[in-house]
Amino acid sequence: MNKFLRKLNKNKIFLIMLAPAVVYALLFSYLPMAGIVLAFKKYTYAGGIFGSAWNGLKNFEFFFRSGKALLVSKNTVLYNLAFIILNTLTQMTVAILLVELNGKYFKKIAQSLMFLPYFISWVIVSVIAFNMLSNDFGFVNSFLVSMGFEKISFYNNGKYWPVILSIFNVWKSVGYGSVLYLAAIMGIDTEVYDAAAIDGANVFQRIFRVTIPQMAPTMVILLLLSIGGIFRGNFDMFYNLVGNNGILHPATDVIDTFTFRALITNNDFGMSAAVGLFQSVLCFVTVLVANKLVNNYDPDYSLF
Amino acid sequence: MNDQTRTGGISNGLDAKVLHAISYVFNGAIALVCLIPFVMVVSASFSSEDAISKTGFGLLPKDFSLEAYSTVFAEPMIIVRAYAVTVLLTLCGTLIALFLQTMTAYVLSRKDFAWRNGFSFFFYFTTLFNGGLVPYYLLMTQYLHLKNNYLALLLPLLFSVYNLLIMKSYIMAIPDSLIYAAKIDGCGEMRTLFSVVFPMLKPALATVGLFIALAYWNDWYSAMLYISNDKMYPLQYFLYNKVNNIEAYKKILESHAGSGVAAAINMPTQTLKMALTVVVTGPIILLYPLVQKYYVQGITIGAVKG
Amino acid sequence: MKRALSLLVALAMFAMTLSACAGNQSSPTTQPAAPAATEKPESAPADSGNSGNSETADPVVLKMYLLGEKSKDFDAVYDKINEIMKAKINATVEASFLSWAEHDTKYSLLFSGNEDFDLIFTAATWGHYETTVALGGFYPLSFDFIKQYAPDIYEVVPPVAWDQAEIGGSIYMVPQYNNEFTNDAYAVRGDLMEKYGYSTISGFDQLTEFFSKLAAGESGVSPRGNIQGGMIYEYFQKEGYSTLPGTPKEFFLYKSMDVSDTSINYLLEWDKFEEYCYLMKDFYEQGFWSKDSLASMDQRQDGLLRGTSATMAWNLGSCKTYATEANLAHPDWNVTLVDIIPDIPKQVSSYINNGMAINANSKNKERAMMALNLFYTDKEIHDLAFYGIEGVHWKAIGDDAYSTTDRTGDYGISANCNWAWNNMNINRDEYIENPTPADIKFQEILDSWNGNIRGEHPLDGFSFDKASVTNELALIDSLVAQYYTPLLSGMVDDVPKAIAELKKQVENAGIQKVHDEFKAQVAAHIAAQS
Repeated sequence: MNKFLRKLNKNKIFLIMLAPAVVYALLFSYLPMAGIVLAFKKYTYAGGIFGSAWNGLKNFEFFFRSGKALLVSKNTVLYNLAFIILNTLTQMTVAILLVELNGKYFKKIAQSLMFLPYFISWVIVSVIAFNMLSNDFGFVNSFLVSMGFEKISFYNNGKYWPVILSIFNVWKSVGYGSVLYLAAIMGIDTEVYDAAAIDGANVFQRIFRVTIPQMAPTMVILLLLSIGGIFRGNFDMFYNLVGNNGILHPATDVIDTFTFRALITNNDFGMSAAVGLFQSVLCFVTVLVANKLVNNYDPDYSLF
Repeated sequence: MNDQTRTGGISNGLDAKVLHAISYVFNGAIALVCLIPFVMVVSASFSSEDAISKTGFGLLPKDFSLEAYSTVFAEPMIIVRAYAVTVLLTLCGTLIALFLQTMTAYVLSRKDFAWRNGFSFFFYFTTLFNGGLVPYYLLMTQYLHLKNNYLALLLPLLFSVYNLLIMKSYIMAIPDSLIYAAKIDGCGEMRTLFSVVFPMLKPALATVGLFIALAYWNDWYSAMLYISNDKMYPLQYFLYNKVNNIEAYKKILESHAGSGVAAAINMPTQTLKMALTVVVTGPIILLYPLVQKYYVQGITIGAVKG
Repeated sequence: MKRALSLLVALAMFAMTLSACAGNQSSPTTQPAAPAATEKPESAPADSGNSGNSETADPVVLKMYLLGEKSKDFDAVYDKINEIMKAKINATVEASFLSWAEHDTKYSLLFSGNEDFDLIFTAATWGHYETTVALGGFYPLSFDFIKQYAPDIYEVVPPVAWDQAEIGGSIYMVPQYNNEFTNDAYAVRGDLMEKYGYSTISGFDQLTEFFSKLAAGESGVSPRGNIQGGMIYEYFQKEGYSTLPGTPKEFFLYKSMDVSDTSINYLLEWDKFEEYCYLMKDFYEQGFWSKDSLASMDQRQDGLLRGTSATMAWNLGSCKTYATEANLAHPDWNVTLVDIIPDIPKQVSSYINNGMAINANSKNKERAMMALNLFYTDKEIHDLAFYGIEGVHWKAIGDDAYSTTDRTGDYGISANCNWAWNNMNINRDEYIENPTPADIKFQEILDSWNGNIRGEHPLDGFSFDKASVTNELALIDSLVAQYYTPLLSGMVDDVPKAIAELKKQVENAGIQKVHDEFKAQVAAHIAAQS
């Protein structure tokens, strides 16, 4: 006990500095977590969160009996993996290459332009996509026809969509994401570079020996954060780009769009809480494993 | 500091020239791909609704028209007020949130803080599990009574665990020796944070600050839930409401067999959406170069040490 | 350091000021101030029949939620309504709107967030009726309660409407009373009809024959543009079937043209379904609708208005609206209205497409019902709520028509979510001085439909309680887009294989259990009727 008090005293200042954030998290995150019990309840307005009757595991039934649980979970994870890998590679490359340039204006302008897609909402992206890919008047098809090729019916063929969705995802997040890596590079001590220069390393060696290793902590944290959401699909993106076009669903349906379609007419609080909980638990397990692996490699890089 | 910070001043060899060429081509291509759709959005916003629906988008406005903008700015006073609310909210929110998140991240990054992993987990856990909208809404309206209160717009975005952990990773890149040196000089933790850590963190603060500002700037959801007084609407919510009302109304007309519902109003929807994007994007685009200078020139630890 | 601290202090103070002014600003909405009540405190026990009741002794403010947008003069009009309400039932109404964009989220939050209110607009399916009933949000209305507090409504609303509103043995909404038709009409390009030698189109086969000629002869204009779900409703009409109320999609049908046939048909075992699918596949391949159909974000009218579709199918009123709009922009198109299946009697659509419900937590249920009674049947209040202030927003033409004025737009005709108390006994028609050909055709078709309403089928008033099959329905809903819509639209390679796959999927989802539940509830419904 005494030991604990001494420890408490030693960390007093730190605890005081943490206090506002802890209070915030308790009030706005932990307290509302009580809502998780809805996953096991037959919610009614009169009963509310605690007063409604227990419903066992019935709220989970529709999802697991659908025969689609495996497919949509698999789609969710694979899409997220593809997005994580492609995004990380593109964003890091952009940041590293931009930093190496001397021209101030090119750097600034290129960065600003890359940020533009972030502001274009998925609803509008879907309009742009339709203008590109439509069978009747899309300019991709007009181009193909003018080059003497056959039209491609993108909206009636699921096999193109993993590529299409990945491209749009990379496009939308390249500016936003590369800023994080730029900031990481900017935090590298110049002296490390000077030392490399004295060693006679060429630019490519310098990038691989200094820049990338120095960016690693940021990269690992961002990876872990993405892995923490690996069972959650980007609803806005999938819903707007694919929508109710069922022909594409085998290739594009993720957990979130599936649940949305299933519950849109009867808006069942319990069932949506159940699917949410399922996703949370899987994410939790995945991130625990990933974090453990990182921790074994270097504790400084891990989330907790 | 100058632009050669990152290259150590030796970038004149063939290797550097090759790299520059790659960089210009690669980044130039990506920037172009990002620009074109935006140009299409801008030109669509200056087109007539009719032309857009007939022939789709182009790089230049079709049948030039200001219809969409005149719909957006139909009530200029409301827009001005909404802008003011959003700007103030973004300003306050960003400063408070940035301070809160950096202070927390600093503590979690300190290796001599005994419970840093425990607390990191405590915060991270909240990103995995949440209780849904109902309990949160009850908390905000029935217990905190924040309906039609600006705090309802400020609080939800005040603390982001993602930003916290990203900030933590940036702080951990600062050599421990610097912090211990400050301690030996007799600095308290707060003093160390302000006089040693903050100056070193400029690019990180700019980045996370930008993200927080964007989150406040783009947030319409909190306003939808908690603000019903139209004098208090922030910009995004005002515009969101405007466009989506017309859209949703047309959808209901379509699904609703009864002719009792008044016939559709003839208002621009596509071009209005585009104009809205331009209106909300503009100011942030102007602000961005201010933030950018921290990405173009970094900091030198040696300089801080000296 | 110092600068940063002082900045923080300044910020904190700013935040406090913000919240302080916010607190002040919010007071008008959080405290139900009743201006009407303070203006005329003594006018309550004046002349009306209800005034002697102890029920109306205390003045109350009824909070009412409507959907949509508040029009410019809404408050002025409701001030007038409140004057009358105050005098008649010692109550005033304070209306708030949930906008079209946000009602999906906020409707249920009103109930789960324990908001204090009395009346709320509702409608089957899109207006959250079934969902809110299932979660216990509405107050059940017994006939005793209705007769006591809304006797005039009880007189007006037909029994079949109450039947439709009944879920699990109770009624939770006051349905509208207005004969609208479920049948769709077509708006068709007159110039193209003429080009291919049609002066009129009467019948499904003639329509599709016209479509074939169009698809073969025209480029850039397709017969139907972008449509999802093929021509299933036209097909049902032609065969004399209707979907059973409460059915998931179109899976359960009844033969609405045969009053004596109360059997339920399961779509996938219905003998005409395969024929339909082959027909649609043929139509799709001929190019009746675009290959983009399933992905398109077009609304129904878009293709017709922009000239890429030769027709549009919708209810008669919308056909007129858009035919007129298209003709205005392109007089040479000469868009006309067509009743594609004129020889079949027309079906009146469900009365629960609009309605009003009382919050289960309302503290003034009786007075809310009395207020509803006035909205529904008091000519003066009804006129105000529908058309605005006479002489300002509209002009009376006799007792049953109105004409517009230059200020009509400030309140709008039937634009303020007043559809819940649609009452065709006292609703007014628009008086048009110079009718267009589309107006004339509209009136002609409407008159012929009104003269040819089919007899009431015992299943018209059926309503389905889905409490015991929510899991199954959720599953079926999730499958529709992938296995069902493409089939309906003829967009599958192999019809029998696609039907078999759909069947397998919905059976796995539990359609049999839903089917059995429908059978049981329909049997109970029929038994209760006889």
